[in-house]
Amino acid sequence: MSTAILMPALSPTMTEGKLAKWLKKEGDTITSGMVIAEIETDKATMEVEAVDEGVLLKIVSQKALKTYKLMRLLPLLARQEKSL
Amino acid sequence: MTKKNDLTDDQLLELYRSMTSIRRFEEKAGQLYGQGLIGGFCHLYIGQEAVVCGIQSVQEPQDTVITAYRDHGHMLACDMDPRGVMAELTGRIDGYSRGKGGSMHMFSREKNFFGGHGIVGAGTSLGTGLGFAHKYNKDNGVAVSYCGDGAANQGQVYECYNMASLWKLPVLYVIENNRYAMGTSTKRHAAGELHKRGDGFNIPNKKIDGMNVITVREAAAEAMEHIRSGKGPYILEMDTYRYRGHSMSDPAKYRERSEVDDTRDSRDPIVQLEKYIFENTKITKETLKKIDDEMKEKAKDAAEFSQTSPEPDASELWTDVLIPIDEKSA
Repeated sequence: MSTAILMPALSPTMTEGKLAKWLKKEGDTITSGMVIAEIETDKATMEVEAVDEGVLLKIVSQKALKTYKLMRLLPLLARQEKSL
Repeated sequence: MTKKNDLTDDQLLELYRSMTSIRRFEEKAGQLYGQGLIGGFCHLYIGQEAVVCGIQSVQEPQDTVITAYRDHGHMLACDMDPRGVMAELTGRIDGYSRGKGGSMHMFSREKNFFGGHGIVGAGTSLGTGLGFAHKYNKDNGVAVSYCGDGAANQGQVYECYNMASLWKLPVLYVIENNRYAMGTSTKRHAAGELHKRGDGFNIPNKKIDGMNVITVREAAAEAMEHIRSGKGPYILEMDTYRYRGHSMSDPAKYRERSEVDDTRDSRDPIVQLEKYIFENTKITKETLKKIDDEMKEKAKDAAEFSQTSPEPDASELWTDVLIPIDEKSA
C-alpha cells in the first residue's frame, strides 16, 4: 500500500507552502516522527515529519523552492510504502 | 526501568494500551491538521503520554481531572470517546462541544473531565475549586489539576496553593514540565525548582521522571494516598518532553533537532515500557504489536468519523450561550 505525502497545512493561516528541500531520498526508510522535508510557510521554515512508517518510494517533485497550494488541491510529491 | 514491582501483566498492558492510544490519536490529529481538516489551535501531547497514563491508572472513579490546552491525552486517558474528541477537532456536530469548542475546549461530566482550558494558569484555580467540592460533598474524591511549566509562574497558582494547604483540600497538583513554556526554556523562565515552591505552603512535593510510566504511577499512588487520607494537597512535578512544537505552527527554532531526537531515542515513554515488559514478563512482541495495531485502527476510525459527522447548523450559534435555570433547583 502506498500513501501520498502532500503539502501539509502548518499554520492556521497557510494557504500555500514552498518546498525548501527534501531531506530524504528515494529508497530511504522512514519512521514516524522523522523529518523528511523543509517547507516555507507564510510564517517560517518548518520541518515536515513523517506520520507513518515505510519506504520513500518515489519523489514526484524535486523542484526546490516551488510553491504548492495546500494538499487537498495539489500534486503528489512522494509516495511512502508501509513496510509492515 | 530495572526495578521489579508488583504490577500485573494486565496492568502493564493497560498502561501500554492507554499510552499507544494517545500516541496514535495524536499522530492522526497532526495528519488531519496537515490536511487542513482541523482549524485553529492544536497542541499535541506526543512524548508526554506517561504522565497522564501513570496518574490516571491510580485514580478512583469519583476523582476529577482538569488541565490546560494540551488536553487530548487527558481526555483519552479519562476514557472519553476518541470519535467525539476528533470530531470536536474538526469542528463537527458530534464533537464533545458540538463542534463549537475545538481542541482546547472539551468537557465530559460523565467521565469527570472538566476541560480543556485556554487561559494559562486558570485551570489551577478551577481545579482547586473541584477539590473544594470534593471536600464539601464528602465524596472522598481527589481533583487532579494539571498545568504546564509556564503556567506554574502565574500568581493565581500560589493563591491556590495557599488556600488548598490551609483548608486541606484534596488536590493533586501536577506540573507537566516539558522544558519549554511555548518557546522559552525553563532555565530562562523559572527561578529555582518548580515543585519546591510547594515548600513555602507546607505542601509535600516531588520531582518525578515523567517519561517513565511506572515511576509516575508509583509517585501518583503515594501522593493519592496522602491526599485521600485528608492530609491536604500534594505537588508532583513531571520531568517530561514534547516532541512536537508548542502548537502546529511552531517551527521550534528554540531547540536543537538533536535534543528531540536524543530524547526520543533514550527516554521515549512507550519504548521504555516495552523494554520493561520484555525484561520482566513473558508478554511477547506480537501481543504489543497487536495492541498498537488496534490503537492505530481506533485512531483511523475516529479520523473517518470526524470527517463524516456534519458541521453544526448556523442556528447552533444561539445555543449553549445562556444556561436555562431550573426554577425548582434555584
